Amino acid sequence: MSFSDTVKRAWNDNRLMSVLLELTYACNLDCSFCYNDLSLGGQRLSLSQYRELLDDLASLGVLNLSLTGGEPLAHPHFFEIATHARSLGFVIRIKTNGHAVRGAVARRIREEVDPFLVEVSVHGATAATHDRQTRVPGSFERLVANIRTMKSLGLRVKANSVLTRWNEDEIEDLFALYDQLDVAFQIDPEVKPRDDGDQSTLAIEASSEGQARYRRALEARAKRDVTVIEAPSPAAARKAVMTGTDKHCGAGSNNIAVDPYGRVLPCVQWRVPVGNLHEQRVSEIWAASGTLDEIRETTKAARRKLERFGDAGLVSNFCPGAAHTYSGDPLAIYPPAEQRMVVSGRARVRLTVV
Amino acid sequence: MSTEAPTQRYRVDSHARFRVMDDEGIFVLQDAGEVLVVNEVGAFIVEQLKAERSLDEVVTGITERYAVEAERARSDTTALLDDLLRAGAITRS
Repeated sequence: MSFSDTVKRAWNDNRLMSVLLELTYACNLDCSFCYNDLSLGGQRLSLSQYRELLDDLASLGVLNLSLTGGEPLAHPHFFEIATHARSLGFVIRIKTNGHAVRGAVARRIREEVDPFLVEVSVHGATAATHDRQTRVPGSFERLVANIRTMKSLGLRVKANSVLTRWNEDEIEDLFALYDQLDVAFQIDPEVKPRDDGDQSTLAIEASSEGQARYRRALEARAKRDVTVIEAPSPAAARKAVMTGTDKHCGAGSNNIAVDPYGRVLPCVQWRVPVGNLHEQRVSEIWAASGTLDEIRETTKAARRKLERFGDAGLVSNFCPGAAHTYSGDPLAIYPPAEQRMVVSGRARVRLTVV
Repeated sequence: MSTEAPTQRYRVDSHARFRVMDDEGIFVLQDAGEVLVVNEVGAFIVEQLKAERSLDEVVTGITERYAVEAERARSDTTALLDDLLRAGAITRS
């Protein structure tokens, strides 16, 4: 039995495996394309509620726990929550802008939290580009210094970047920066609408030339030094991932997200509450939420719909959550997915656990 | 073949994480960035280790739970423990 088989079984059997906690929407940066819905309000979860939630998640056998925000370190009880999570044996990922992870804080994370991974947001290869996005002068220099500190402490670090019109001309320099810092990386070629549906963020979507440049750079890198499996086609690669399950994704089937106000969501991108922790324990929501059942059925419907497009559907990287944010319909094909359907190329699957 | 003392105890390595999922166990080896999957019996053994049971107690537990003779249970258990020690999933207490 391989780990991928285990994950597929979790999808099929509705076995909760991964949970993402948005601890707060507070942040010390001011990124122009931040997707958080800052107009949301409600009663924040208390420290005791987080402890109870983590206890329940451990009882449910949850393996992966991501702590994010906003900026998770801006939560006043970040370390209490994270250390309790460690004591319960979760594989912890911290998604941070990295700005606050300086010496003492970085050491506390290493020693007290011992995360599997710290994911930081890198918005460009230069201070001018990164700081333009964060709207905080000096944030790039500080982030680079903090990444070096984290690496020196033995923390595993991954850089998350979004391809935008502002950084598309420096994509090769971004790769060089990742190499220089010796970090894993993931580039999302798609700027998303905000969680409230506001699409003003799309004004800085990468151009078609920028997308092509990104694909060429990725291809060149893969040829150079990345361990790859070359599939006969992108569709074949996707088929290999999808074999053994009738769902498009694990939203609501093996993963959920929780916002700072206790709303439980099928995933971080699919902003439809399926319950609230102020009213129910997570185990009750997981077992009995009718909305969650609908979500699970929708992932099956998404699978069936995309299969009707043949190979093009398989390579669309369609996300029902993103579709819901774009139009309110989780099955509606949205522009970036549609564009990907017409892009062809050789499939390369990077072998990595991050 | 391991020559571990019957009273030897083990624990999950401090940088590894372990969860039982249905009928199998998942180790995440954080330092190596790898995942190990053990079967139902392996998951049972690791749960016994987490409960601070000695090698002898683990073997007894296996013979009580599964229809297997003690000699075979000890042999298979020590083989698994050797593998897990080499992988960095567990350490001796």
